[in-house]
Amino acid sequence: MAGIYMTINIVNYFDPFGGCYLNIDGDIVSGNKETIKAAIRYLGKTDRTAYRNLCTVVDRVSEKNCIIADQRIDSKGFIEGLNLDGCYVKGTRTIYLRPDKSDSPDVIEGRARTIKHYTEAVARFWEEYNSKQ
Amino acid sequence: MPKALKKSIKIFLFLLLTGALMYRFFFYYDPDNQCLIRLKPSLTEWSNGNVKEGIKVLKYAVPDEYEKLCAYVDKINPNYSCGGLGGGCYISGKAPTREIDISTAYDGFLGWTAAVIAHETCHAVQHEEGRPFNETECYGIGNYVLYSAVVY
Repeated sequence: MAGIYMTINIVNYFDPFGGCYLNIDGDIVSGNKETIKAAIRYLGKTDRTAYRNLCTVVDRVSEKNCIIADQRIDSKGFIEGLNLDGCYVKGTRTIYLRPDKSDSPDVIEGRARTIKHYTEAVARFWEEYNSKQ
Repeated sequence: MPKALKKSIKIFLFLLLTGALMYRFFFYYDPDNQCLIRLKPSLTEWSNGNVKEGIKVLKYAVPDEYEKLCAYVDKINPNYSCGGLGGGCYISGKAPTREIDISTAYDGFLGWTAAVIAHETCHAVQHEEGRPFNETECYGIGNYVLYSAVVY
């Protein structure tokens, strides 16, 4: 069992006691997958409500630059998107975080804040969508 | 349990599993909106999961573009095409089969995948309506999808 737990946690985030499983997609070149997991664990310790919300409404945390505009139409918007800490695409249960190689405590805490912020966006979208059905 | 019955059950389960996997990897089906799209196999796209999720972004976030996709597209080719990696392509020669090419990566940003799908659908609409191929209109559609779907 310990082997299974460790194997899953190499690739994704798995907290069996907290009932939490999240797919984690890291950016091999410019990112750091471990700080995403560290940020999630930090959230679990500091804000249990936000952590439970994350584990309920989100399936995946992906380290990827956000694209908020087509570069050919709105180059300023395109650059703005690349500089965002994160974003959420409606209709999914995926949160995106800007790739960052650093593993400093500031980065981990910052990622935890971004994850919390966009978890709320995910919850809000699906609540509004389901209320209209 | 008789041997023949055991064998029949095994064959049935095998066919059920094969059918489920075929549906999972090669079809997008939304009966409520009468939407059925066939997805061709692709080694680069792996499971077509990114394309299917991109379609769902349109469904939930940009319903008018989703309606067009379901009305004008029957097939998506997720293999490398004239749009290059991360892009898409519409080839008017494929118009009879109502097919668009979407070459976004299997783990690509879903907002972009949705935007590319909408962009190529725009070309399919232009063709069926007998209008000239116009990139400006379709870049605008892709941009509109990004503005509508991405929260930041």
